Amino acid sequence: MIDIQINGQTYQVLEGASIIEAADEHGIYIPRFCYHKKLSVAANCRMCLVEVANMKKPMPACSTPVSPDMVIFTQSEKALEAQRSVMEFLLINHPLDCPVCDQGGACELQDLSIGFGCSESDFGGDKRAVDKLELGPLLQTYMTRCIQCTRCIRFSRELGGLSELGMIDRGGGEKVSTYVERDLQSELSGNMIDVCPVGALTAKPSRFAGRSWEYVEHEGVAAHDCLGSNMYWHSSQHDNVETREVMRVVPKENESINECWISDRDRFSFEGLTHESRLLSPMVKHNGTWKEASWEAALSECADKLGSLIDSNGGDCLGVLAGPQTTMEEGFLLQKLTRALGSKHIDSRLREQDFSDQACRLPSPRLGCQIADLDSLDTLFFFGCDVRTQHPVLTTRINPSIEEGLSVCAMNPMDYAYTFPLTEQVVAGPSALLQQLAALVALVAKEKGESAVISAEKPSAQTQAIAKRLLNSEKIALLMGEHALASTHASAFRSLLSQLATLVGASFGELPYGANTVGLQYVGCVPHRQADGMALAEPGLDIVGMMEQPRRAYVLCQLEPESDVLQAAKTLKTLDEAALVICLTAFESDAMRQYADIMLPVAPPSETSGQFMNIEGSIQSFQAVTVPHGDARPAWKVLRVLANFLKLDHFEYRSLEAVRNDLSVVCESEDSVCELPILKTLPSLKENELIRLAPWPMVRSDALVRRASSLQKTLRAEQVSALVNAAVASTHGLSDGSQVKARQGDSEIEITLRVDDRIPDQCVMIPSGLSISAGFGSAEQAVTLEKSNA
Amino acid sequence: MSDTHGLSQSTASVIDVWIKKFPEGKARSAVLAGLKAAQDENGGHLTNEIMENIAAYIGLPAIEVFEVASFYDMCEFKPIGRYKLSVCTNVSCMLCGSHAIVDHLEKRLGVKMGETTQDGMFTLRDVECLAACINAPMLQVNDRELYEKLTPESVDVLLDRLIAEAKSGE
Repeated sequence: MIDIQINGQTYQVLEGASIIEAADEHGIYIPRFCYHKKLSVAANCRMCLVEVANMKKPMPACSTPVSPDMVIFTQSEKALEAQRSVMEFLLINHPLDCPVCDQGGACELQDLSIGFGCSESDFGGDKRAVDKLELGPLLQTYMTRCIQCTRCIRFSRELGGLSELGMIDRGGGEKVSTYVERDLQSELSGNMIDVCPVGALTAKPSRFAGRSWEYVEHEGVAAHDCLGSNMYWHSSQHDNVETREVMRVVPKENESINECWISDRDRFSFEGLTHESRLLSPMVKHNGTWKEASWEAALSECADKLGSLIDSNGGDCLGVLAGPQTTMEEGFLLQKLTRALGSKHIDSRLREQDFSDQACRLPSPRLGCQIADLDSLDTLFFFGCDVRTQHPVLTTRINPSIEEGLSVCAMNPMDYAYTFPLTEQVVAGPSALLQQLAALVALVAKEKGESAVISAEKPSAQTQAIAKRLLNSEKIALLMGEHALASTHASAFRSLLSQLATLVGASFGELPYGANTVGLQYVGCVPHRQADGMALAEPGLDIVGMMEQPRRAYVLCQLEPESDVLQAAKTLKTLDEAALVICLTAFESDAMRQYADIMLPVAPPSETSGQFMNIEGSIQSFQAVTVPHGDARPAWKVLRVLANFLKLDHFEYRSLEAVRNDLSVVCESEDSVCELPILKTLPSLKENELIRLAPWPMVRSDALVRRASSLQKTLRAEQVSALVNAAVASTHGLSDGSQVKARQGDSEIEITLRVDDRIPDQCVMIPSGLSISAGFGSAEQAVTLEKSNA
Repeated sequence: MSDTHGLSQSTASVIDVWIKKFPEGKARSAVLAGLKAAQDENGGHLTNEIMENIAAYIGLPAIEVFEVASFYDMCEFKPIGRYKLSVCTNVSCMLCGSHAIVDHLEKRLGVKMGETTQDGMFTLRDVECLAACINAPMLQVNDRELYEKLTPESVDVLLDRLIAEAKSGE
């Protein structure tokens, strides 16, 4: 720490900090455009000029490091004069169109020109104009307003990891551009809107919808991945809660989670809230015809039908599934209701199908380290994880860490288009992947002088390289991603990875899909543990079991099985045949109208209060922003009243706080001991089968985002096609662009085939969650392909 | 690097030479040399495809090659004449009579500055100082040869020679 003087006051500041960092630290404001605390220093706008004693010229505060006893004036005549002049230059080419600019009222240039500008300009020439730039469905550009601060360019290169924008031409003609017109590919592109200090980049979906000063800000938690990014909902009509609407979403700073970034999915999914398929009143099906019903009628019908089924068949006839946007309170009530009705069959792990080690797993998945720890690792090892599309915000920590010396290794079922370079990578189909992981563990064990617990094939050169990297690193994190979790070999993967973590002294964690998958498992929405985390002696049926041994009645809370579960075809068939299917849902779909008998409209995340637990295990609560649309009600209220209708005891909750109190009492006794079984032999592997890789594209991951129209336009052709490599295509007699029939059991779809050599042998990638693949087959299982005759 | 990503072997080898001149990890320093080699080979101008190929070969995002190419005046993005005559019109040359040179060139070739003759032989460019003030006025042919102490007569001699050279080359 050194002493410096700012505006006559002495402050202790960190040695090596820049003047602007030191001033920010002590709450002294210095105007700036190009400086951003998370980006590299460009020092090109010159707005932050300050006077430094004994320096002849004013100095840019962003790029001048402090030195002991430095005397700085941020408000002196010299500093103000310099700032005024810079402002005048910046405004030479900036249009005075604030009244029609979406940034108006939230514009750094506007603010600073009021604070630091002058009302007249000496400039008499023509202003320059810049051609429009088309960046895709999410970002609206108006490049004449650009002041060339390069924040967007630096964000895209340093944190986004994709260099998509650049500064082309030079001098007075300099402009930000993609040069060759193309849509942005980044999953984080919306953050460029935030870093843009002017109205050059604005959000297309919320464009011209309202003015910043009319909006009111509500704290929220992002509802699409397990990181729990903090954000603000901006709503209109703040004095009238009845007519309030969500207008846009912006990030909220949380240094330990999302810093100041959110993914495009979190930012633009709000569009889905007003989708035409919102269920606005309870619906009941009688003799195949749907009719609107009052809550009273719908709930008493639920209670009657469910009650009589349970009376005649026992509680065992009920199966319950919870989707990942179900809050912890709702999950708690759901499992309480299920168990009060005498059923043990409840699950929330929609995208898993291997539960053989569930008793030995943590009560709810964990990252194994803190999210912020990813900044300071030596080696990060991803296993079956497309982190770029599934957890985009994590890449804002990984991309810049690469410069700091982080090396990332991966074993993946396809060569994912990561935004960062991989030091080593193994790409192989599921069986070969298991072989190589076992080989990696055996190799590392041998090097460590431990007796080999598993006999494995010979490690490939890349596997050996990964072993070497892991053995030579100090701080390592192993992360098991969504592909590995969804695999039929998940328990084997988990066992091997945890052995590996122990051997190399790494942290080991999982990255499941969904906002509250973690919280739901924590509150007991699993068949093998109660809300207090205690294991049940006789577990109920998991999601796979519930479909293999069909139940008479199902309650589905906030999920669309046709698009949300791994074994979609089987699930749909089972639901179709069930005597009673009650859906608590914010949206209806054609498929749901088929299998459901009663649909109860519940509130999506912006319309309900609750808590999500993120992958670090921290519980974050949020408040409803608006009242629920139509007759929809928060699911916790629906579940409470349903329980009352069913005449169950201990459901007299008057408020959400009352539920939360109960929840906090039971969760305190969680035991987190986890001893995964040590895998001694590999599961038998089938050869010569074509395995379907079935990732969910980012914008198809849950019901809300699937209905966000602008995000849907970002889907690229390769994300809605079946992908195979050239070798597989030729053995099947298929070519790029041909229509193919994919078949799994009785289930069949037609889809366009593309040849993509990122896919390994014996694999075909057919995305899940698409409208074309809704209800199709089973993910991560064998599939046949043939040429379509049509 | 055996895959040249659509570049000719000779352009690729120019890039290889330049990559070696810089510390490891600074391969981007070879962009300008690559652009120049590729432009010469392509008859004087660059295409988006060529620039993307250079980016792929060096391992850079395409935009970072576009940035360099659009910064430098020597990079052309449309077909130009066989001979690009870059006439300096900066202060020293202007004081020493570059106006007369420009007028003469425009009259003789029948095109304005920035244009290309119908027969595709010459493109006229006015450029800033090329650091030959001591022998102003001057022009440069195809970004390489300098011709100094110009007069309308010496310009005619130069043009005749270039035309003859082009004809004999055909």
